[in-house]
Amino acid sequence: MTRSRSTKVSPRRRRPLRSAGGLRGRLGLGRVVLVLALVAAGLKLAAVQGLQAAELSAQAVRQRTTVQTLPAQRGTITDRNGTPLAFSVEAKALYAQPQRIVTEQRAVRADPDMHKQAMARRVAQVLGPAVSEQEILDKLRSDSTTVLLAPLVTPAQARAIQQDFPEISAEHREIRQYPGGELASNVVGVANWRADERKVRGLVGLENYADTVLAGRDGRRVVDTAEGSDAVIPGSERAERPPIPGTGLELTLDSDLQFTVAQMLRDYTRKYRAKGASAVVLDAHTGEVYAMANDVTFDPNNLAAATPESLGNPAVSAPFEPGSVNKVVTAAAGIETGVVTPDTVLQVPGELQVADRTVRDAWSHGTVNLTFTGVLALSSNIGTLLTAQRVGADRFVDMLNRMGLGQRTNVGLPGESAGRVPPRDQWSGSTFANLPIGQGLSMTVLQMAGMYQAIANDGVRIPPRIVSAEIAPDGTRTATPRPDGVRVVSPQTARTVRDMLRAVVQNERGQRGTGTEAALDGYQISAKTGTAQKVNPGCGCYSNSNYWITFAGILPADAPRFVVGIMLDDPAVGSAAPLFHQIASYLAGRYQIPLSPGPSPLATLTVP
Amino acid sequence: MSSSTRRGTPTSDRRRTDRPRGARPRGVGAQGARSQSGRSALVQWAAARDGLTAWLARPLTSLHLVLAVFGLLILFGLVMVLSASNVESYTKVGSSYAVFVQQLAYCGFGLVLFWVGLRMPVRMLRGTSGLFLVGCVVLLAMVLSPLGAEINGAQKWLRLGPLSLQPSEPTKLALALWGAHVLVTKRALLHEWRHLLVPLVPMAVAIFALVMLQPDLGTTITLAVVLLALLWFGGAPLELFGAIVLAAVAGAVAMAGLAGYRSMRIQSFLHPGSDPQGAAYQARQAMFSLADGGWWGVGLGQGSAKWDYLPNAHNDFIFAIIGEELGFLGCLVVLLLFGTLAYVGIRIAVRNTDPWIKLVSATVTTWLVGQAAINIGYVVGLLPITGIPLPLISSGGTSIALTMLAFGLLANFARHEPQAVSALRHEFARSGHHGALPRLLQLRPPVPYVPAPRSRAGGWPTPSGRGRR
Repeated sequence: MTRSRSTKVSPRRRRPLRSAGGLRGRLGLGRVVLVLALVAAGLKLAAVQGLQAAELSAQAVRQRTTVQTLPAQRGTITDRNGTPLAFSVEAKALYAQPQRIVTEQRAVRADPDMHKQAMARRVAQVLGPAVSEQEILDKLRSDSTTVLLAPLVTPAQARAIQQDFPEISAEHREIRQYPGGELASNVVGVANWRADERKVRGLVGLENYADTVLAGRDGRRVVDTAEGSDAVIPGSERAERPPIPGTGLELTLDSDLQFTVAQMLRDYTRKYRAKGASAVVLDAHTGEVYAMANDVTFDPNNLAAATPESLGNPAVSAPFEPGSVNKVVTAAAGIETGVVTPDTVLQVPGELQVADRTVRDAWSHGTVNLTFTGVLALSSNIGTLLTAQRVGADRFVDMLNRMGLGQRTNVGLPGESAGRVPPRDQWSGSTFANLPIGQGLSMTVLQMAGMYQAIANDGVRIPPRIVSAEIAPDGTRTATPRPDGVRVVSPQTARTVRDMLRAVVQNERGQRGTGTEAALDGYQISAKTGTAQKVNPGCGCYSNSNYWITFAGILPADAPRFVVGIMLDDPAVGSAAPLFHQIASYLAGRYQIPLSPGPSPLATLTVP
Repeated sequence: MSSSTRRGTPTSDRRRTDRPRGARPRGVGAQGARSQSGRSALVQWAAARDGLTAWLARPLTSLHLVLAVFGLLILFGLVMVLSASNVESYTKVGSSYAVFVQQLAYCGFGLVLFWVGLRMPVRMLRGTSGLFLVGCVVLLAMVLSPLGAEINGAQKWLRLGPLSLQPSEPTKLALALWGAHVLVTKRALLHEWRHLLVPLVPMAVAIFALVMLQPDLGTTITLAVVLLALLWFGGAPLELFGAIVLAAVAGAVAMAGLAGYRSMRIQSFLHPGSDPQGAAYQARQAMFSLADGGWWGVGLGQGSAKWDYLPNAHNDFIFAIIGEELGFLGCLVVLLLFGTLAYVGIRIAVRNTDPWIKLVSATVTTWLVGQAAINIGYVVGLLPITGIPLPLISSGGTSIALTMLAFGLLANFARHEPQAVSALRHEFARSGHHGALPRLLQLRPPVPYVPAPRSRAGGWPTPSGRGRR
């Protein structure tokens, strides 16, 4: 077919070209040329697809490969009823590339500024009044390579905008939301977006303390993406490591109680101009923290407005000298060792010299006869010290330890203080005159409440805890192991001490306790008031004008359900008993605590 | 085929009845084949060659080959357009099928044109070619008026309501038809330069000018291929081609220097890889796709180049997507199909006796295969990038419809090979029709070529005798 004869006809003779042979030759040559062109393409193709394929492919892979992070959803924090205190929602940050918009619009001969105006209009339209169209437009008109149009928008908003303007890129963000605002914020803390890690990380509180549990583990995958965008080419996903979502935490807090206690505490603090205040409510039997409030809180949704001081949780981090509330240690040790009984009558002098220190009671008196119950109810320092001396330093120190003082409770919150109990080898002569009456040692309000929890729980102290369970990503609930209880005193001793402490709220003529305002109609209340002198930083001595006002109470005394601890820092009032009354009243109503079978029996405090 | 069927039926019948007797000799033969496998292979090769020769000698082989190449290229093209365009369609329109559905519609329109080309009498085709070309030139002029639409820096399209038309596409065919008509009519006078070149060359140059004003270098090159093919097969002297090649090179260099984007393309061709994100980007991405495909391809639909890496993936650079997804194997199929087109197109020209059919067949074949070779050539990096589509495979409305019309003409001409005319007329005379499909398409039997008396005076071959062997 392709015989190409007579194509080399002499150019001078034109006629032979038009001979039959000439045309056939030209047809044949034409066909050969066409086929050769295709063959040449085929050979080059073989070279590209065969010989150079590996090298070129490697370059092609390099330009497409993107390592993507698959974000792990952070765990939710809920209260004991499942009410969310902190949870995460997915969000997007919108970016635009002004320079690229100009280049691309010019390429299609469009007016870049018109495009930018349309873009700003659409963004403002979707995002609503939260943004200003003019601001967006100004950003788009800037000469930067990349501008942040909106830091946090919902995925749906981002989609709506990207549908019209695919050149706007949306980056993954996570918004941590705290629906309760200030509710339990000192406990829960706050987590915020970290631009460097491209992840939400805990900043303070539980969010920080349990960050690794809450955060989960980001996954990653290697994908091929479309040129100039993050669109993943289907089927190109490889080396995928799925994200492991964070574990949720279920707290022992009760949101409603927490809210109410916090509000009552704040109101009381404001009313009496206290410098600070904390309160905790513990379950009498399990040691679970039902509420933990401080007067100063912050709104995690508006971190910018929070002061550094407001971010802490003084209820576990700020120890104070408890004052007379600590007399429960002497009471427990005295009853447990049998050196006193509730009815033991002590001859209490007007003052007592211990080493270099002269101790007096809060009220001036000559030598009076007080029952041991009366010593507690009237909060006699001298009576307490006399009993402590009968108990002896060793057994007293032992009881301090059993009560958990000087040790962290390991409640599961960051920044917890152990308080301070002076080691035995550093005692001075007056130390044993201070410790029984709650001076010279310090504790947190949580430790303070813990002592009374032991008394409420028939002598077994359960270290308090605040995380009741971990909720796995698949919903599996794993309860936090209940800590081992510490036997502080015998059940009998605990009951005896509890019964004695009922006299604190006793309000009888001539037989009146120090905490009568704490009494709650229908319920027997065991409680102890406390007033501790603060150290005057000027002289290094105890101040006679600045006090810590403390209060601890058990509700109800006959069948304990809750233990409440309160600390007020230098209020313009001498007692926290009215605040306890408010809290106890709310507790009784909220948990429908059965009424006590009868009023507390009358206790004899003073004898002639 | 008819003779072999006639022979085949009784033979196989006899074999079936004689199976017990026939078994032994066949067994012996098989043993012999094993012992002398070399000779047997030769025998088989010879038999295959004889079979091929016999098949090629059949009167309708040209027609069947044209139809086969046509159908396969269309199907291949539709599949690849869907695969290459779905990402872009989805991003721009929201449906993966937007470009594909459009392409299907153009194919439907193209099939009508194919039918028109297949059915139209040759005499009428030739007679209207002048009108056709004038119409095209008018449309080309209209494109440059405000009626034309500008896309990507070139004013190539006419918008007629929802339809858009690219008049430079039919112009290629019109130039071939009219040019052949002029040259064949003047064939007795072609020894004079004046008659050879006028009016063909001035007309062609005017068309080139109109197309270059759009500007569209790719189509101009294709039109130049058509003009060269006309002159070559029309019998122009060799000096002319020397001069034309020189002028073309000078012109191309001048044009490339003028238009920025074209100059960049040539720069990128001469120095690939110098600027990976810039001018050489397209060429480089095409290389990446081809290399990714390797010998066997990554699989249909699995390619990554169409994810915005390779611009024009479903039109100018669809061959790169074929190379990526179907590998060298798929590319080879495309090359073989166009190779077959070159073979059969020239075969139609050789076997026909009507000089106009000869010239048009050869020119159209050169245009189509040449356009394919240029397209594939720039995709594989042999030529600088000139945005011309791969015939029947690239997406693009006017182009595919007009290419289908050209295939219709080739099929029409294949039916006018003297052997085919004889066979078809015989069949028609015997049974009143020549097959179900032709009847459906309302095809009339082809009319044999009767040369006009004065054509005998010219140097063109006398068809009678050669055709009716």
